[in-house]
Amino acid sequence: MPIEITHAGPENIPNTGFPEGRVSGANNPAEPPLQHRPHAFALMHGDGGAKVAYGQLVWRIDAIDIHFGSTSDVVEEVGQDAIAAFNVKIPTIDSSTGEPMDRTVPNTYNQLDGYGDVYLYWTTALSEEDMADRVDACWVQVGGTPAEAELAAVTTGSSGFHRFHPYTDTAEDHRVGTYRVKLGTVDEDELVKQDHASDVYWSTVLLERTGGSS
Amino acid sequence: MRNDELAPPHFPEDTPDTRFPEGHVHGANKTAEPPLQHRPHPFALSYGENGAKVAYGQFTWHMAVIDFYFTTIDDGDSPFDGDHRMERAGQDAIDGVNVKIPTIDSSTGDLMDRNMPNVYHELDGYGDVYLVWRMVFNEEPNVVTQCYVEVGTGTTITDAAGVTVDATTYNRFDGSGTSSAEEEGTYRIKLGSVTEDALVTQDISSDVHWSFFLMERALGE
Repeated sequence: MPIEITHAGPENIPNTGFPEGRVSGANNPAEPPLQHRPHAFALMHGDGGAKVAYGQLVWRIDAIDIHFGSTSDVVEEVGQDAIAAFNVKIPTIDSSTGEPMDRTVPNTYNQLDGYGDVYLYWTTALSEEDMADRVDACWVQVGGTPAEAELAAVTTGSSGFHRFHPYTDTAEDHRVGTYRVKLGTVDEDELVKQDHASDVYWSTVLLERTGGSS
Repeated sequence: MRNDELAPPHFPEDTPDTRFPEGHVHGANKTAEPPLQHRPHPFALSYGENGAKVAYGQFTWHMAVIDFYFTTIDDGDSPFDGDHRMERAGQDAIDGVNVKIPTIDSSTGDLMDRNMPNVYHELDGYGDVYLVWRMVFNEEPNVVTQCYVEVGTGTTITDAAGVTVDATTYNRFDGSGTSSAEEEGTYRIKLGSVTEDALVTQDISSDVHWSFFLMERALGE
């Protein structure tokens, strides 16, 4: 006697009324209906340039501290800064001095200046006293200039080195860096290419040195 | 300049008609007449013909490296001669955020398609869906050499092994003082489950970010 096999997934799924790639907030178990923004940094065509939905940069920095003896140049103590929570930087539009993105819901799309590759940029100013200011700018722009400039490496040594304090043995490129992530591409008469669809996270660790004979 | 595109019908009055009510979005991209258009969230799961489907998402990663330098004590007649001491410390340049676009089903599968309107990628079967990535340190600067979405736990997961406390030269990037288990690692995170005759469960709904820290040692004269 043949065995009756139950049909697999899709046929048994309730009809949502929406094909793939199409989602709806009309599932209103209670009023008001679901109202939300699109995903972070959603791109679309605008009037004379790309548009971008709200998204934010979330960042944090750990620090490890190594203390060298003042005469021996040998490690005498090691420690660590407090484990910090997340910091949030709300991007501005087009440049570091542009208007900040609007986080209110319903969503506001932000018009950018032109079409092309869209990047999220951020810069560091590690010697700022307030931790929250150590990422001092964050913006969304069209075009990939300036290039990324990483915070410079630290040569192995024993002299004082503290990126948070500019009077120690640091150069500007140890404290000031420029980073970016490509969000996607919006070209005229082309389909949008969406690379990044989440808030952007950047979490790193820094070495600090104190003491030493030189 | 800003345009409100997802405002409720009563606010504000000059909001252009998007053809879609609030909370309602569409993947159909029309350049000349752009309604609200975007993909679902990263790694959105749905049913396919013969297996799960997954929307585009990407893997981002960040690596920090701190360097320690040791020497061997040779003071002549010191009782500590032959011991090691750490005399210097440094750090590689501070990395930004690196991106790896996943492939489908395996490390040799097709790359996920970032174009819009959205393309859902059909996977090979139903079940738990994972994002898997593999890093190989001596392939710097790539390091994350593979990243793929697969159904099931067919891939063997191995953490990059820990480093024994010592003062010997140790560098995962050039293999100095390392074992093979310390030179690579394979990881995964569960995106969700798409099972026949059951509702989809979605665990991750954003791009996946992974940030880690490495130690290097050098033993000099």
